[in-house]
Parts: sequence; C-alpha cells; structure tokens
Amino acid sequence: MPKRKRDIANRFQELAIHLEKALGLGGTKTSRFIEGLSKNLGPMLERLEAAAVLSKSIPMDVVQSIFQAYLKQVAKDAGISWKDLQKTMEDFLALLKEGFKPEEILGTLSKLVSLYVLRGQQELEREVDEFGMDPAWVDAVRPLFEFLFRDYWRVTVKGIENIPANGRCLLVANHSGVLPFDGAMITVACLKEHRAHRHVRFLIEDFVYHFPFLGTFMHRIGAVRACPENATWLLKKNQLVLVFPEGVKGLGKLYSERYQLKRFGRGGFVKLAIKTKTPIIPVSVVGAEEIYPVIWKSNILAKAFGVPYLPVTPTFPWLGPIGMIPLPTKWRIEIGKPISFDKIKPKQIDDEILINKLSEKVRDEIQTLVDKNLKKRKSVWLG
Amino acid sequence: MHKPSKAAHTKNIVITGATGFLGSTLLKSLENDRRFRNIIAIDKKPPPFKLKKAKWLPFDLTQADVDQKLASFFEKQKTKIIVHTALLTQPIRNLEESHEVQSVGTMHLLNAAAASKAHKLILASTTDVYGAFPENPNFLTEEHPAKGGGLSPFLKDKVEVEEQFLRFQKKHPKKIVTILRPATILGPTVNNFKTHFFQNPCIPIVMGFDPLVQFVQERDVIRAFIKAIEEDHPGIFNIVAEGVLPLTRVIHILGRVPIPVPTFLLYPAADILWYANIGAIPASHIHFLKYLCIADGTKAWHKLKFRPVYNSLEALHSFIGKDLKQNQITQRLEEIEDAKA
Repeated sequence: MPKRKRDIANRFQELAIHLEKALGLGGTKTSRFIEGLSKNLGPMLERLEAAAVLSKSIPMDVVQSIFQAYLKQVAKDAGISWKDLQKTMEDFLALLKEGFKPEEILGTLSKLVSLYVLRGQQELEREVDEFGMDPAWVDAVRPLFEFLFRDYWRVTVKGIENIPANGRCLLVANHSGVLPFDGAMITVACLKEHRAHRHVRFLIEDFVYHFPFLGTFMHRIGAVRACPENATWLLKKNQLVLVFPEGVKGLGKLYSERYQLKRFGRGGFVKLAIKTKTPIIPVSVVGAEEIYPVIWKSNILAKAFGVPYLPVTPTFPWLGPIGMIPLPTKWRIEIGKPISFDKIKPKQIDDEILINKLSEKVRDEIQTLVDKNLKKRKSVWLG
Repeated sequence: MHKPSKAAHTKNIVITGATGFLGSTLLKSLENDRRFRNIIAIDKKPPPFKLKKAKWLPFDLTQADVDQKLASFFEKQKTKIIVHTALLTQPIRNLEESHEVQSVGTMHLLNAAAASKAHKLILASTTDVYGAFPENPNFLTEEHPAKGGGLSPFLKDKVEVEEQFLRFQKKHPKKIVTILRPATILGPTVNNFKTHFFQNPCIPIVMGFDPLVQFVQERDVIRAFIKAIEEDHPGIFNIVAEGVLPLTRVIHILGRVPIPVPTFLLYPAADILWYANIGAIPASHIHFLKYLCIADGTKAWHKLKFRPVYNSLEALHSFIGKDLKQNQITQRLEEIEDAKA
C-alpha cells in the first residue's frame, strides 16, 4: 500500500513538472498568459453578456470557438506553444484519471452518496453535534481530502506548533480559490500534523446554505455559518475556530489581484477575540490562489443562479465539469505566532479606530507571511 | 424580582383559551395542584374535561364590547395573573378570522388588563416567530429580531401579538409581562399541525435540504408556565429542549418514509393542496423544512431557572410512546434542583 501511494504522489509531481514546462516558472509565463487573457477577454465577455441579456440566450458554440481562437493568440503572445499546452492538458487529464482511480476516492464518493440517501435510516453510534457535524460524514470525506493534501497539492505546513494543544483559538487566514478548499486543507493540516490532532471548525459564507445538497454537505462535515453569534458560541466552548475575514471578496479574487489581501470586513473578528479573550493566530496559505485562475467574473449570470459571483477561468465554463477540476499547484501553509489582545479592555471594544488598527495589524501580519512564502517559492507547480 | 413570590400570587388566575392544547393542559395541571386557587378559564367553548375547582366562563375575545365586560369581570374576581393561550395553534385558511382571533383578541384582552389590577401577564408564543432563514445563527437568542412575520400571515399575527405585549410592558412598567416561546411541542397528548405532519405515512421533504430541528416535551412546557405563574420573571424566554436532530433522522425514528421533492415543485404543490383543503400547511411554512430555526435556552436557565427534563430526542421518543420512566424523571428533576443551588 505505501508504495502505491508514493507512486501517485510521484505522478502528480511529474504532472507538475509538465505544467511548469508548458506554462513557465513561478508566474512569469503563466501570469503573462492569464493576464493577457483577462485584459481583452473581460470587456469582450461583458459585451457578449449584454447582447445575451438583450437576445435572452447565448449561443454557446459560438462563444467557445471565439474563445479558442483567442486562447491560441494569447498563448502565442505569451511565448507558450499551443501544441505543448494542448498536449499537457491531455496528459493532465490522463494522469488525473489514473490518480483519481484508486478505490479510496471512489469509495469516498459512494460512501457520501449512501450517507446522503440512507443516513437517516442508519443506527447511529454518535448523533450529530449541535452544529450538525456528523462523524460518519467526516470519516467518509477524510480520505479524499487527505489525498488532496498529500498527493495533489503536496501541502507543506510550517509553524503548526504555534497552535496550542488545547483552549480556544482563532485562526485567521487569507481566503482564495473560488471554493473554500483552503479551509479544508487547514483543517486536514491540524488533524494530521498537530500533536493534539485538533479539530478545526471553519466558518463559511452563508450563500452556501441557499443551495440544495451543498449546504447540508458543508454542515455535516463540520463547517459552520459565519456569523458573530456562532463564532462566540464555539469559542466559549474552547474550540479551534478558523475564519476568513476577507469573506466572499477574498474567495472570488481575480487572478490579477492574487495574494493581495482584501479589506478585513469591519474588524468583527478582532471584537470577537477581545470579547472572548481569545488569542489570534495568523495563517498564510500560498498556492490556493492559482487553483482556479479567475480571469473574469460575471455578475448578470451570477444573479440568475443566485450566487455572489460566477467565475470564468481558462477552463470553466468552457470545458464543462472538467473545467471544475482545480489545478495541481504546490501549497505552503505557514502558521504565525499568536497575537494576544489581553491588554485591550472590553470597554475599548466600541473604539472603532482602535479596532480597525488592530484588524489592519493582523492583516499586515498575514500579508507579510504570504509575501515571505511567495518570495521563497520558485514555481507555482513545484514550490 | 426572581424570588418566588408569596402565596397570594398563586390565586386569582385567568387562563384564556381553555380548549386548545396548552390552555387545557395547563388548566388541568393547575387544577391538580393545591397551591393554586380561584382559577377561571375563559373561552367560547367549554374545556374538553370536567372541571373540579376551576370555573369556565364563556367569553369571545373577538367581540367588540368584550374589553369592558372583561375589565369589570377582572375587577370582580380580583384577577392577579392572566395567562394568554387563546391563539391559533395552526394556520387556518380564513386569514381574516385568523387576524381577528390572534391580533384583535389580544388587543381586547390587553385593554381590559390595563384597566384592571392584574399585575402579571403571561403569553404563550412560539420559537417559530424567529422564522427559518439561511442567515440565522445556529442558536437564536431572545435578542434576535422576530422576523418570522415575513414568512406567513399566521406568523405575522403571532409576531404582532408579541409586539402588543411588549408595548403593554412599556406603557405599564410596574406590571410583569412574560413571553414564553416554546419550540415545537411533542409528547403523548399534544395535537397540532406539526404533529399531524409527522403522523403522515409519507413525509415530503425538500430535496437537498436536511435542517436541524429542535423540540420540547409537553410536560417541560407546562413546568415552564407554572414557574412563570409562581415566580415573577418579566421578559422573553425560549423554552427549548437540549440537543438537535436532522429532520431526516426524526422521520426515520418516527418510522415514516421521507419523500424528497425539489423546491420548485414543493412550493406550488403545497399551496394547491392547502387551498384545496387537503394539505395541512401552506407553502409559506416550507422554509421550516429547509433552513434552521433553533433557539437557545440559556436565558431561561439563568433567569427563570428552568431547565428541561427531556432532550429533543427523548421528547421525540415520548411522542411515539417510548416515554422516560417515572424514576428517571424524578432523578432528573432532582439533578436540576441541585444544579440550581
């Protein structure tokens, strides 16, 4: 068994080398390519969208052919051989098929489906907890997320010892990647690499709960809707809570804005930390911002689907479901030293200028961590 | 404020709505308890059982001149405590009647209470007034606004009734106004549109949604009301059991078959059935099958010193005939007494 696992990891490493050859080192060629795409494609898509609203339909095949011609041109301008790119994409898909073949991945999916359909009718050893986390669901998705952690994104974690073995703690991280994979990876990191194997409860945006299946799924695997009441409740029970103060703004960042942290809400997380006397631990995630390079966001279509944004990437929605596969970048998670607000009196909570200052301080700390790791990184694909 | 009040407070009690589940069960408990004297039930119809020491008087709270009659009646009886349970337990198709019974009936009662020497008013509300929304926190506290009124006219009236009570408290700061909000009540004898819903052999659920739900056992609710009658605790209190259950789990424990229906089909179907006099609930209540509406009972413990005996799962079990044993209940009650001290 261990041999086969190493084999998969090697294959994904190989794949990363392929991608690096085709798309370039640490962002030079890659960013030229993707930035070239977003420069003219954005306005073009906007006009197309306006036309679509007027005529009430989008001829998808026309859009696709325009897009492909455009893609070829941009690739040429960025110094990327179209043939290489195509071949790499084919290799990528072939490797993916092999990588995803192992029984554990299929097992996870079938287990999830059976839990979804039959869970109500099973004899439960342990009931769901007060936030709706079901231990059986967590066990079912664990292999899949561990596979992503170990083989696919080859996550390296630094500074995990900065998280105490017990007691309440507020992890604050930069947010990115369209879907909250960063939250999942930090959770896996704490479960696998922390000496006390601590469980992380991560808070996510509430638009998730508008959707059928997705909301229930997120609840069952332990996510909690982000709001001050829920965070306070969890911290009072001495839990390890992960928040992304950038919120939806961070999740749907454009590729051109990557690794520039957005505004940290209105400092709600600082007030929370002061009120509950919780230390804040800054966390930086590098690698997640390239898994879905968002070149443009559609607002009109997003409204139709009831989502805050509908991302357009070089592969999505053009390639359909395949376009939803995240890219195998190399991730680094670094956990900083705890910041304590013990000296701040609860009375000072209404001092908005102070709160904003503290919130900016935390943001700076995370930005510094991100920049440090970006500097160390030689390649998006190989780390 | 929180000390048990004197024995005098446990006499001259008026309960409105003696035929509904809450009113009649509370009436029965007060009848069997020697501490309570001079209990009067007012309702259009007589209570469903024979009264021993309590009296029933026919009053219709929706009549235009009922407020004067009630005021002089309260005066004559030296009424001290009014428990208002004369509200609808389920949505009815006649919206006008619904409004008259809930909102206008309450107005008449409060007008009469204002003119009388009654010093305490207790309202039976529900946690449904919070409404089920995707943006609700997992545990709603009493400070959370009651937004359920936006969902259906039935709940809008319930919220309006609460607002009338709160306004009354502001106008009469010396009187004690207590609002109890029980969660969905389950138990061996309870009977309302929610229990009817759970008694269907097949239960429609919203495809892809499996919200957590919360219950409270009927005896715990009555305990909370008796506590509010005996002691003085102004304010709003959630009366809820501990623990939550996913809806599909509830349906399984009940031994029913869940029928997942996509949202876009369920709403129109529910409305058609409702107006065709077949369905038990209008589409506006489907939100409660999709999103969270769970209340936090901490305040009831800290201020009212009320803690439920049953948790949500046990309340559900008692509904299907697997009640706790008497010695278990006694033991838990003792534990609660110990925790208080």
